[in-house]
Amino acid sequence: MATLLNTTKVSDATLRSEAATGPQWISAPFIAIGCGIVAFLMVAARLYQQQYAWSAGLDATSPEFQKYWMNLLFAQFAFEAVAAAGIWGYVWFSRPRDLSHVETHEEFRRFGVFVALIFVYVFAVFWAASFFGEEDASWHQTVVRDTSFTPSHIVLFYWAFPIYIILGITAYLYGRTRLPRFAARHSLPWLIGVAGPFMLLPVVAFNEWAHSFWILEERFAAPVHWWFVIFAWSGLGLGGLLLQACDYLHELTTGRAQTYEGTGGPDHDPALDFEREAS
Amino acid sequence: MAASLRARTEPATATPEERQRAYRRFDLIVAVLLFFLFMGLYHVITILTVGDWDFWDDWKDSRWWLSFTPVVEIAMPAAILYIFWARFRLPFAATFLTLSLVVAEWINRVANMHGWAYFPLNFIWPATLIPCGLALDTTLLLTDSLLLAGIFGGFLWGVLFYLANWPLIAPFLAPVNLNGALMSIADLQGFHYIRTGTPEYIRIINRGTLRTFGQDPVYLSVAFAGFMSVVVYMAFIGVGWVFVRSQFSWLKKI
Repeated sequence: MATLLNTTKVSDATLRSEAATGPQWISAPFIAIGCGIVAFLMVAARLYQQQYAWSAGLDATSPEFQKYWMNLLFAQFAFEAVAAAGIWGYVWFSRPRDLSHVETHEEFRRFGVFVALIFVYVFAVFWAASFFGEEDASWHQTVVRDTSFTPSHIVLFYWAFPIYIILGITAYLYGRTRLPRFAARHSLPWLIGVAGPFMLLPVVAFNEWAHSFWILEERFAAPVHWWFVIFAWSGLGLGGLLLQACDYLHELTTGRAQTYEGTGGPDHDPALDFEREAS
Repeated sequence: MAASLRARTEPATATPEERQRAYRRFDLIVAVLLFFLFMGLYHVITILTVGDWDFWDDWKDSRWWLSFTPVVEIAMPAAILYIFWARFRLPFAATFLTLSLVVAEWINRVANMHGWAYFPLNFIWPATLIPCGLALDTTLLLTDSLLLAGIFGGFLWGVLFYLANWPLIAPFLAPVNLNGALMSIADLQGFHYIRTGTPEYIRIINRGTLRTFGQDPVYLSVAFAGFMSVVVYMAFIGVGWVFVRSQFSWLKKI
């Protein structure tokens, strides 16, 4: 009991200390809300599949298929267009116009939002690549397709993929418009980490084109699918971004942050100082 | 015109304690983020390269499954292992990845393969690579050498795959006689659940030559997997090196 009371006292003291040092960095509620919205959208799509895939999704020429699946596809396109325009437009038009006088505390807060946005992006990638990716296998190992717009594809390619693409570009735009370091120049690994998974969508076009020739349902590990593998590897660009983020975090918290005055990128890149130190 | 730099000396955190809290928070968020990232990337690469062998009981044969799976699957752990070890001195990349893969696979098998396509769970259980990951990471930790970890840990990775999965597959290798035809329980399951992959199963897996319930091909496949895992590990350590170097890559214009 004594131990429990002591622990409680320490926890209270810690809480008071945190309250005195300002709001929490990297907002957990922000991440929870973002991931909650993504999870809601994905689970809703999965429940829709459960309800209508077997009952109305087996024959692409049937009226039921048009009603429940093609209309869903068109509704998805409309939702994604509005969401992309709204979110990207908000991030772009609400951007601060002068990054040369940003305070360190404010830059630190924005860096926390940036990390939170990347978290939500990665969470959406999980749903697309893992959850609906293997779900697609379960459907096409069971049902021979008579269209490219099957119940699993409509959700995987035209719902889960666009959602993570929208979120990835949102995070990239946020960094470009709010963080001086990322505004001065493009981070190559971060670019790879967003553009590579985005390229999975063009690969869908090739995939469906090829399937229309050869009906390669027999093996999920067929070579026609290996382009997806190449671009999935590009997600490791986030490893390079993580190292940049560690470097950035160290600078911001130790009084070594830089302000970029003027336009374009700097001639001298502080990130490369770390390289020299490391070597 | 290039931007000029002005140093700001005021830190974002007021005290060392506050700085430590910020670092710990960052670590925690990144750890969870990486778990989701690896569940997505490692899993999608798995299903598109060795998926069929991992999806079904009857595809878990004594040649292709044993050789193919560990050899292909060591690529991403090798790359991530380099990033974790070279930059953070963390010797648990392979274990972390294999754990994330098994979690992602079980979520799918229960929610989708069983919950949507209605296959029984004892026909679609995923293989585990966690013991292989533990062996690779432990070798790295003990030797403090990426090279030795590749030679010994990589070999163990390939060899341990079958041993680790033997308790899972053994019940399905029991022989049965169905209308005069000898087959395994796994074969019987597969013929009851005809899939679009069944013709490929007959072409690739259920062949007359070397079609056994284990025996000699297992030892050959396991040894081959061990040697090839070493080779693939060495190649993909290089991929990890490339991604680490990308830390220093910035583009002024696109």
